Amino acid sequence: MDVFQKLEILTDAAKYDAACTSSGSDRSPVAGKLGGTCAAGICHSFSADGRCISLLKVLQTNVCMYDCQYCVNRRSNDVPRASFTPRELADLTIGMYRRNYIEGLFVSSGVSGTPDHAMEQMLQTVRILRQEYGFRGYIHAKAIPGCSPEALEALGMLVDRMSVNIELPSEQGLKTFAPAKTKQNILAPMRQIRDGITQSQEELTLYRHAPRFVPAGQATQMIIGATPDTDRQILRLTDGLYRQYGLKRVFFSAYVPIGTNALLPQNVPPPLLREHRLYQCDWLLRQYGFTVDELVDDEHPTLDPFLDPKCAWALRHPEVFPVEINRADKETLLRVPGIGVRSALRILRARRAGRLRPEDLKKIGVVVKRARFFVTCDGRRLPDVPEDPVVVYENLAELSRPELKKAASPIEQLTFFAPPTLPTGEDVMACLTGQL
Amino acid sequence: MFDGTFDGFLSAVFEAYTRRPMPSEIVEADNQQHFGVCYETVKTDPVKAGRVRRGIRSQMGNEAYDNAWKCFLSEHPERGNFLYRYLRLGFQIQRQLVRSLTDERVMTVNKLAALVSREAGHLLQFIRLGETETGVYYAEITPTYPILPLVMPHFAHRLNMQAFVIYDKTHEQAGLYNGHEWMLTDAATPHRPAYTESEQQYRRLWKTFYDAVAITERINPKLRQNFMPKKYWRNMVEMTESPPPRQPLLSEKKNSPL
Repeated sequence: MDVFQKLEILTDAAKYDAACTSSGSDRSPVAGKLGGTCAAGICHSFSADGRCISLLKVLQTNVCMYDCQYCVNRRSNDVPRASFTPRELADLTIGMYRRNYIEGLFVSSGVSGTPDHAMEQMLQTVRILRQEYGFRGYIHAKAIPGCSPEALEALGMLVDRMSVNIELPSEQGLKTFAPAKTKQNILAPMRQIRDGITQSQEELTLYRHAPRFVPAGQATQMIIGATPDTDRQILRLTDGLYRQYGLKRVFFSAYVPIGTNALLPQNVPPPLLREHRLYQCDWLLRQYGFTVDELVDDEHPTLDPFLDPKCAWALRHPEVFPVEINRADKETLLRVPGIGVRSALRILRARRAGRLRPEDLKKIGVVVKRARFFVTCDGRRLPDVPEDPVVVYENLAELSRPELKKAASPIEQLTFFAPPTLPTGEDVMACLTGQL
Repeated sequence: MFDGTFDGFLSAVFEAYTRRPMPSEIVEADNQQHFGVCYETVKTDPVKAGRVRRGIRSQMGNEAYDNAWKCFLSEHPERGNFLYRYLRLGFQIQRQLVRSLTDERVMTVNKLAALVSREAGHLLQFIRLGETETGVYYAEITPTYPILPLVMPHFAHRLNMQAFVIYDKTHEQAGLYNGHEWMLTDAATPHRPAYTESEQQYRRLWKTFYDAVAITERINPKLRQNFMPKKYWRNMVEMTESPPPRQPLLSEKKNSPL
């Protein structure tokens, strides 16, 4: 089998992994060595599905002894199998890096033999890159659940980011679809990576040149829509992972029907809109100071498909608004729909040079068509802003219409009009007036 | 009037501050002139330019200087006047300049600077180098703005010992890096040595990877084009290379439940 075929098979086998970021690590280049990383990461291309290509994302091998029902590489699936030798994969990475195709390597692996054997193969690849080629670009490696602490430690010292996939949002889902994996053997390596990072950071404060363990932090991903978990469960899990495991990112991957198990959804398009809404919440949790209970609660366990989660929150909390642009602090500004991290900072900055008038907001980069319902400038509301909450809801929902169209495939759009998700006029009234 | 270089423009600013009353505009030599206005040609003087440069940095900050320089790179026909107004305001209000985000003069400069920055950022992503037989890597680009001075340091740092040439076809300018330092030169059509054999191999490998990594169920051309504007495609391997001949393996896979 030539390297073209291997590359095709092993890329195809790795493509359902959502994460492809090259961020979080800032390693300036060193004379005589190839490459560096920059904190913001760089996307080098965008594939036909519009997802970013930053790293050479492949499996070391797609031979796997497990039979996880949601996974394309499950033992029982009839797909061609291939493996890269460590040398092949390292050479491929270097060749592509030199041509500015990629930012580095994202290597994962099927479990052929023992988890430690899979880890050993990845470790060899990474060793060739780091030690032989002196490669200073980005490397993201997957830790295989069930591997030994020693193997994890060795790999962690050489890569920028590690991740262990949590796979499905609930233990029940794991039991049903991935009986070989348990919550325990997924969480154990996560804990070890967390502790390794903490320890490494402590050492760094003492010795500037202490070796760095997983400097770009830990990530994970879970599959959305394969199991009946609610948005609330998913977000609580996500929040728990950020808080208790110190994760840098949690990725969501809309389930693409590749399994044949009768319990898995069949012939449905991937729930892209739901994935999109969950990512919006993820950003609100990480960058905007929101808590999970503000976004979803017992009354609203699923996210509103018609409204982005920040608008939805704002409509449920009229007591917070309007926000005074010329006085509010950063935390409060960040809560206004239409004001993002960047425009909040710009508001703070521009305020130091003079007071802001309503017509200045647009110049500063505030999305006025959203923000206008929620702000005042020196006590003045923006012109022509409706007060009636139902009208506001309709206005805001109208704004996310293109988003619905873009993210939702036709079938998914249809399901919006099925009874459980469609808020009727009365629902809207109840949800709005009930709290007004 | 100045000669179209940034140093020339800075020299003109220097001269403007020596005149009373101050001139009303600073324009490029070959630009259209207003009727009834008296123009004076300013010779580029590195010493004077240096003083203005230091003045901008110390009084308005490095960020203001960077914005001014990037705005200059936009090659907007009115750039001389935009920047002249920007800097005059800057010498008055100093560090408040970069905070005056709602001032028309500041906005104009920031907007043009942002266009230039964005293009430079895109090229860090999308430049594709190819290995030639001399061992020097070569890339061709066709940017709207002459952003070579913004992208050369990034690649020189990163590729380190690897020599390369980036040729800007639009502005007939080449960025050269020999493994130690980089420089810019004007060049109509540089001589590009033949690509190596393995280069063709890598181009096809990259195309193979690019096609394989997309998820068919999620195809979204609009989203892709948002992130990767079409104007860059013609210089990108994955958008120009035809897919390598299909292996029998592939057709086999097409029939599987995948």
